[in-house]
Amino acid sequence: MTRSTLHSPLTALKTVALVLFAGVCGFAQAAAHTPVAPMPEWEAAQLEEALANVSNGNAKEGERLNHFLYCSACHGDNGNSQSRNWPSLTGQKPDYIMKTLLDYQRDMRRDHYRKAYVMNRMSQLLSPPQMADLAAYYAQQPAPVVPPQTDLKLAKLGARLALQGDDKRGITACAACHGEHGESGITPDTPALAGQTPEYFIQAMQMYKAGMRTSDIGGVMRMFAKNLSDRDITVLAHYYASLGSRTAAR
Amino acid sequence: MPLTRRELIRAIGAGALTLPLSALPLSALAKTRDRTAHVVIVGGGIGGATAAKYLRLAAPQLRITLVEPEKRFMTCLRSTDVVVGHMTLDDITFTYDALRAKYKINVVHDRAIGFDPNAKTVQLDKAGKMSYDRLIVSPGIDFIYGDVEGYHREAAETTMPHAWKAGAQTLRLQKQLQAMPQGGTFVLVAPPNPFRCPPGPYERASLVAEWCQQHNPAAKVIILDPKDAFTKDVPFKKAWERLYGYNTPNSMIEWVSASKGGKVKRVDAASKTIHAEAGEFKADVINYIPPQRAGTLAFRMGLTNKDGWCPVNRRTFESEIVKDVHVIGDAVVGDTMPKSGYSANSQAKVAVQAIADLLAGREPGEPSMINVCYSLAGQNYGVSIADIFKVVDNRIVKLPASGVSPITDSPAQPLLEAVYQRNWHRTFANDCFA
Repeated sequence: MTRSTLHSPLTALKTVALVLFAGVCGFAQAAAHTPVAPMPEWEAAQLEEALANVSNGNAKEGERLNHFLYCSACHGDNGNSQSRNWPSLTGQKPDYIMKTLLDYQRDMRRDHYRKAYVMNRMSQLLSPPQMADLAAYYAQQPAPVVPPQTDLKLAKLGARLALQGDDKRGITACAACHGEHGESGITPDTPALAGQTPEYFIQAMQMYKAGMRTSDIGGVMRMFAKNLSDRDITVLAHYYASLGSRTAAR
Repeated sequence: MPLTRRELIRAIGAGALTLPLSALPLSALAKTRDRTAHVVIVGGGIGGATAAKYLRLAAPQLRITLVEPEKRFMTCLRSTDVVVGHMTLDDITFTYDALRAKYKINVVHDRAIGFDPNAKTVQLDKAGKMSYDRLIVSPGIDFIYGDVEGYHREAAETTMPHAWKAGAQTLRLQKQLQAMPQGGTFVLVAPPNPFRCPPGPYERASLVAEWCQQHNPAAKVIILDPKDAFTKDVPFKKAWERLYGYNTPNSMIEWVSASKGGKVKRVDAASKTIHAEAGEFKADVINYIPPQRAGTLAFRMGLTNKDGWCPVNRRTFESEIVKDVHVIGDAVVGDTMPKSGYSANSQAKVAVQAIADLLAGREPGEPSMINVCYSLAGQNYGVSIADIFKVVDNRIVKLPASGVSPITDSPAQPLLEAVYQRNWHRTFANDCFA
């Protein structure tokens, strides 16, 4: 550092303060120019009301919609995804499926760090009874099979974290809410994780970690994801993928 | 990774004739030993930018120069979204930074003002003479003025914008649309074949109608067309029925085809009146898209035929008129291949592979080319066409595997096409410029 750039520690401090101040002003100004609406969140009571009629869903009609609305094009013929990009929908409780469709409709989701255009627009085509129909259909399908890209070595490493958490790092066991075998659990809108596409799992967790997915009530998943390293997320993804069904899909 | 000459020599010196070198054919090695071949690309639009990038990938050792006067390029693709305010010009503006930094292209912002095909040099305005081993020209299109009484360049630059090249023209049409009186008439004059972006006029009419639904609900869009058919006309007309009341007395869009008298005979810029074979049309906004020919650069370089387009060898895109010069994009005689950004991108890839082969003393392969066009009939309503082409007897022919959006009852189908279109534009622009 040369004399001409900084004269004294006090000047340095002033400069830092000024830069900080300018930074704050600049941020405030930028925010004023491009108002970014905060992403919406669920109130628990509001979600309960929205899901009140989910059990009235008609699986037969859901099956029709799965093809008519091209859901099967990405999520597999019966909701068991054949692609690394998209999640399997089978083996979920109807509540979780319907909640997810509502999440997209309400723009609470970002996928791959971007606005989730496909599902955001598609969900806008659906009425609540149609969402319940789709939910009933996917819930009726058998849980997804283990995806072929599942790495069993990584899966082994994820087991401990999933089942016991890590006291030292303040990480709660995933199984506490998602079930001992990743079959969903604590509430019917908690997703099943067994057999889920690992790439999708990683992406979902990264979105929570980045605060770009606000569909979790009370920010619970955002809170848990914050303490997880990228490595943790990867081993958990393969662990849960490995819990999928071993028999071939129908 | 591009391999520079120095790295090549170092690799040979070290006796490390391993992977990157063994990937090079021996004849290329021979060539690089005497001197590195220089390929100059004139025109930095979609064709030229794609050619620069993919030539680097096809032939890492070459010297590649891209000559383009403008520092930034605006795509015609999605420029109608700017007219109706769904995108800004920034969204369709791309720079040459990645071509320079990632692909080591020598990008020169200059104008080609002269050309000596015997000495194999191009004369640049500021940089002087530049010699080439192979030249690629991607001249784009220019407009034909003066075919119709009352329509001339000055009218295009004031009262009757074409908005068929993105930039000032786009904003001019946007302003005129916004200033259109309530219940006004927007007349779009469609060009005769062949022209840049065959679905473009119909996409524009659609998006203007959609804009009017929100901002000017009693307005009307009239297309005056010298043709009786256009690309994707079946799904477009279905979309117009669904969205804009087409074929009803209250339709927001009216398409006057050639057989219904859509050909324009005379225009009067002052009174904004168009005299077509069907009669007189009084307009509030006129979007006149004129007939087209190859870009002026192609004419100056003597690359055009009597119809105003550039004939090329369809396998290599080498000019049939001037040796060692390749022409790509909207300016070429493309037979069944439409004049689209996608076609230019596809042709660029074929041309640079052929150049890499020719410089290395290899026989160029048999090309397979693609065109995909996504258009919007509304912001949530996409229609698309996909074609695969091959060359038979020096003509580009379509393979039967081609297809247009089907018409189904599923509301998801056009919606998904609209979403795919958005993603396609992002990915496509990256394929050309990033």
